[in-house]
Amino acid sequence: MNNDADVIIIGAGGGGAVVAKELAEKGIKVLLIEAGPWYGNKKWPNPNSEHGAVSGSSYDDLSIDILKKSFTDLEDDMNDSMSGKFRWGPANRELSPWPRSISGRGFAWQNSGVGGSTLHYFANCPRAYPQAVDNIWPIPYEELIPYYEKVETTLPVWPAPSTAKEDLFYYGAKKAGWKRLESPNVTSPGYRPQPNAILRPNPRLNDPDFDLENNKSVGCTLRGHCVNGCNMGPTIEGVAKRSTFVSYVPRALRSGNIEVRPNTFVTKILTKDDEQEGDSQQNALKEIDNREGLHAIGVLYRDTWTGETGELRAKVVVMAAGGIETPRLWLNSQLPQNEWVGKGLVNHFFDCVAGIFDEKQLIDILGVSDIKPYVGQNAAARFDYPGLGVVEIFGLSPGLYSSMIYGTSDKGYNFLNKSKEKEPWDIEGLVVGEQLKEFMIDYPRTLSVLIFTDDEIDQKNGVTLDHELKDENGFIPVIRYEPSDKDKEKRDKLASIASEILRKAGAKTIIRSNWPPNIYIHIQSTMRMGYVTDTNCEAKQVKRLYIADNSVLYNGIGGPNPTLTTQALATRTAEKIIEKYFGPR
Amino acid sequence: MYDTLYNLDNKMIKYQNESLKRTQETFQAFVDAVIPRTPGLAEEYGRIQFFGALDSHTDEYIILSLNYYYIPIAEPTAEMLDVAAEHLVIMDRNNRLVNFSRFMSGSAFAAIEPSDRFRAITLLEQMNGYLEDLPVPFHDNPELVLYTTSNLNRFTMMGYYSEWSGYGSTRLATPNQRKLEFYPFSWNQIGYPGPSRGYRALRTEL
Repeated sequence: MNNDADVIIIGAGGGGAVVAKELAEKGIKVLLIEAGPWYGNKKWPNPNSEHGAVSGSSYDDLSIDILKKSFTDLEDDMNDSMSGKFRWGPANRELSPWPRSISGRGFAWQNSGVGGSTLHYFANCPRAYPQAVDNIWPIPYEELIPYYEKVETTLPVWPAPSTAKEDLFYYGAKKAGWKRLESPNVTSPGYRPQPNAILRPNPRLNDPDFDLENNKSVGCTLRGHCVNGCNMGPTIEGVAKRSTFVSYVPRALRSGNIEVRPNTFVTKILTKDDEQEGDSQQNALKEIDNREGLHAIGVLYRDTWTGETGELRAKVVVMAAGGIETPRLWLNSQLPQNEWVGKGLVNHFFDCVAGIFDEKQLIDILGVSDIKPYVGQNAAARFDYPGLGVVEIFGLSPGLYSSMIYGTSDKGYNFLNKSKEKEPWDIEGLVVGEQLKEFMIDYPRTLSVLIFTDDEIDQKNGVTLDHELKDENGFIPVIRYEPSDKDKEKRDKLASIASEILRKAGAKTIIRSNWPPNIYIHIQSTMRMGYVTDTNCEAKQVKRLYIADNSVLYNGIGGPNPTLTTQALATRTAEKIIEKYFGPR
Repeated sequence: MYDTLYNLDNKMIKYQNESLKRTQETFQAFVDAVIPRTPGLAEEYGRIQFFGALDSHTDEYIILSLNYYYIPIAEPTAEMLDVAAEHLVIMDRNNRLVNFSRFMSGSAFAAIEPSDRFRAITLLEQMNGYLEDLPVPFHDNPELVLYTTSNLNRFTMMGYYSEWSGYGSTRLATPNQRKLEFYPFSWNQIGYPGPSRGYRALRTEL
């Protein structure tokens, strides 16, 4: 049977798009399959209400005008968890999102669409902590460095600019005695501007004559809509936030060697086992080299608009559907048993801490009376602590902001909790009623942080299949996660550090949300290198099947945001694929 | 059952029936407790602070969101909250019963006072042996109970502080058909100016 491409890649997100570009630029024919829609492309002028074309392969189809129609900057339109343009669900917003089974008070924040989670991400691009990789991963940190550099140059990655909220954080961190970090390879605790894949602001941005309304130049304008989809730029390729659909995908299209097929859900990996097939005479006639054990030959897919199913074939298949969907696909395809498929999940055991400030305090420190969470890049300053994890500031539009800080807790309603005088925070738990309204009156004077814990690998945490419940794409995933006692200790320490920084900056009220553990935003290490794949990210039990998303990470990389590490690894994996299956180029 | 229908103009129509009325009453009681009308804040900070979630129809947002699940669950969720309220009162853990007749034949959840509504949910989440009293699909599914009660808090805040109520007469239309008619008053309450093309806010270029 003829191949539809040299390489099929499942998922056009953070990792898949990287492999796609790296292969396509070397002359490999790539078919990039994506379950969700493609925003900003002439062949899909109404991506949420019409099927549009089957696939696209031309750079000239990219359209910033169409993108600006889709990305409305309205947070419910873009990020409603059930019906938003950014959600884990079909492009047709009249349909339900795809279901999963999540225990407890959690939720999963996944995203379908060309760009995947990089559609809504903050574009944070820190490297792993070297101490979480060296002598732990089956490859040394040093080996990742050239790939980090390549991705940092390609996206590109810059230290984020400061607005008032960042300067307030740096002030507090300095007063708390922390040092500023200068190297991207972090070996000791300290604070630094967020390395962000966001184009630097236009240097004329503060100039009163700079026309913000009709601006067609390149560069971030500090408008705080990162999470709601950046549409700021003269062309798709010039959009400020470097989601893969504006960075890697356009470059891949320029090569002329890629076809991108959105609205296509891969439901099964197809395999063949030559050693089990054929009559012995025929096999004897073939050269020994050509007979392979179990190997991938293609995929089965389902069109999310029409329900049509079909087969696509290739020499190599790359799974990049994300930390939940990649193991789910392996299991739904009934690929060989492996006790680590889906297992070892880390999610960085997130938490949230917020500080509310008085006007006078802010004027004294910053010279302005408020810090406005919706101004500046959504997450533009961070604090790193190898051994514990990360504290990074974030600011958002108010619906998302309030639901994350005041609407998400494992501790129940704050007003029903006994007061804890010994804690460094004043409030812990859900905030409701008049108190919520009061705190939101202080929205322009609130500085909040996200905490990412360096959580441990536990084989009990992970993704399995529901025995009974199916959606149109197969048995639904069941996701379970419980932090260890050590994880809880680390997170409590990070919450204390965060509170101290906010207090030193002058916060009058500190709220610790205390997030439930089963929130899946950073979803990692469910198909771990060394356990499910070899060190080239090829599946040990299924040849020609590679993994290039967060699931292949060996661990939680010490706590930092995983995207850059996944993209660096994906760059390396593309090289390995070429070396092994496509000869020297 | 809360059925969503689309008329010729592609707008959702609500069924006016008893079951829907109770469902709405229950969710109105919930959102009113989370984001109440606050005359005290209005006196201190200005008139706009009086208004709350009832004024922006946040209960409708909750119903819409719950019915977007793979299996629509707005009505069973409301029933579950009513059962939770009944249990709170039976166990004598409530502060005060606000409206006895409503408790007996309307929405029990709306008949208890706001702080008791949160006590009822807290008791429900502790799940001390009354799962069997809960309606399908919650009665054998403690995980779905927690998943849903925790989403209620988030939905309320997202519904109230996002642009959703500003869709005005199109707020119940399918997402692709909604048009922003005005900025929600909640944005005035919190000093959010709405979406922007940029801010001259650069302080240090590093």
